[in-house]
Amino acid sequence: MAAMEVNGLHKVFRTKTKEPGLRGSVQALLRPTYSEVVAVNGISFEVETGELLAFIGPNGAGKSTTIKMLTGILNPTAGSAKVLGLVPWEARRQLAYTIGAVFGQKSQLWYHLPALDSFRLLGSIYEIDGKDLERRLSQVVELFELDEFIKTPVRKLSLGQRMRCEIAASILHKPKVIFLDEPTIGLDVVAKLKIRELIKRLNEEEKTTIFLTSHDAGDIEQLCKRVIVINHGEIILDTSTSYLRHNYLTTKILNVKFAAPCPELSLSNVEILKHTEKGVKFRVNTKFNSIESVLSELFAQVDTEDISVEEPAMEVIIRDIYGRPAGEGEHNAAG
Amino acid sequence: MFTAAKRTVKFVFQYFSANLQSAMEYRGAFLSQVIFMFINNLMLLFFWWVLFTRIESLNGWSFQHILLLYAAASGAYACQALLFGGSFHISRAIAEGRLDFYLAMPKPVLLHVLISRSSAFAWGDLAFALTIFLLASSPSLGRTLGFIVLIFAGGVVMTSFAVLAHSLSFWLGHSAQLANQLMEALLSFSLYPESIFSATTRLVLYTVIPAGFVSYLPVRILQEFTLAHESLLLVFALGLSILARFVFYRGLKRYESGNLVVINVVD
Repeated sequence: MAAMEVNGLHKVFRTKTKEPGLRGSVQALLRPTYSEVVAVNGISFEVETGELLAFIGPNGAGKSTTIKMLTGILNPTAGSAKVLGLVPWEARRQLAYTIGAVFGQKSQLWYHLPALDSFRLLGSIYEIDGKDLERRLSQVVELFELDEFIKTPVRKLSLGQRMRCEIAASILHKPKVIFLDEPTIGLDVVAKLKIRELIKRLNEEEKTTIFLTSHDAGDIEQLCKRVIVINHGEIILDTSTSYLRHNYLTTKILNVKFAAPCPELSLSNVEILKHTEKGVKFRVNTKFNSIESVLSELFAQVDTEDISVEEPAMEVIIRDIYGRPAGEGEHNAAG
Repeated sequence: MFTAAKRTVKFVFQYFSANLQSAMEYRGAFLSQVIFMFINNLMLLFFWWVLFTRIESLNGWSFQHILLLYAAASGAYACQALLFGGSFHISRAIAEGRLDFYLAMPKPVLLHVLISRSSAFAWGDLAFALTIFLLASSPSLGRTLGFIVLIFAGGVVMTSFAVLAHSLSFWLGHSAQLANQLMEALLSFSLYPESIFSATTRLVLYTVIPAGFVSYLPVRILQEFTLAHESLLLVFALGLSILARFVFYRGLKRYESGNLVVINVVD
């Protein structure tokens, strides 16, 4: 059964335009001109119940606008959508009891209060009473391992801890669908891994349908089976993550810091981007060479102190998708 | 119906409690704001006291009238700031896309926005209002309860006026400054005796800038209770709140959200 059905969803914003400088400002004041910005351009897709879907794209692609329409925050300019059988912008309040949303850049926790107090307040917003709330709180605290810091004011939490609390806050009312908009934005590697693990557990243990937006390719690779890529408001790819991985997420950049100076280094099938006595930065195409074999070759030549792996930037993936000839890959919606 | 009302009261109370707890996180700042607001209001009264040591009345208004005027206006302002403190920030919420949070929740957006904040310093206004009321009149339990009804009605008028002023942002863009100026005009007119204004100005003060319902009419009721005046005040407060609600929700259809980084911080 489909948890979400979206057909030809379209959103146009009318924005004021002005020439740069003071003169432009005066002109805009006397004779304002407007232009239309198409944020979402006729997108259609379905999401099955219990699915963990990645909805990815670069900044300004239309991800957040889509989520805002699917949660009823914004009215679309055209098109239709149903979430759990309800039209979001017509039955916003009714739908709010069955969905949850986390906007990575907008907190739903009270900055000066411990997360526990915010949870209790959210309990009253979602009309969860007495014992039910206590039972749910203990489940959520256990699932998200919040015990250590649930009584600490939110302002004193790390970004990773805060994000765990944000997601926990959004599932207190046991939503059937949860929208996570950039939940790993600004987090360090360890915190990112923790959030990914928790999202996975949420999907597996509570059977929650998860609609995840991110511009971190790592989130998608490690969490989702299906991915929709959006750019300039249009869906350019709707495919499986394994297809995306094998065809588009093929380059990784490795940053290696040496334990001792190493002026000479020879690595096969990699593109060296920078090499100094202290370290090396190189690009690996995993289609032709596995990370494992490159690292074995590296370890045979030098002792390392630190290694980090960079995923390809979303802009590179998008460029790659557009660069493919039409029809290559059955799911390529961009053509 | 009863369950829904009970849940709404619980929801409002929980927010009020969370806001109060949040303000009290900084004990020193909280207490000093309350005390200084009380003193600040006393200073304003001091100037009137000096004036009334030289004249007996001002177009029929005595110092006792002024005391009741200040009690009513500060009480109404305290009700707005303590219970509906979010009304001061609607414009910014619209312009910065902060309404998303409330739109994603199952509660009525306007009520949720209004109760989302509470200004700690307004406890000073409330203490001031009650103190001055008790000093200026012969207090009894009935009269005190009556006074609380009056300042609550005045608070509803001020809140509704704020909602109307701030809702202009749905049409004009970021117009917080304009809304704040309108609010200041309402408060300023509420703190001067009605008798110094011409008939035309009074008409404005009982309609466009409803200072008359914040302080003048309550003063009359406190001096001489009539059911007609009390009903007029309550009906006006109700009518204005219905109008404010209507305008806010009309404007909300034009809301376009935003992507600003936002955290929940209480004043």
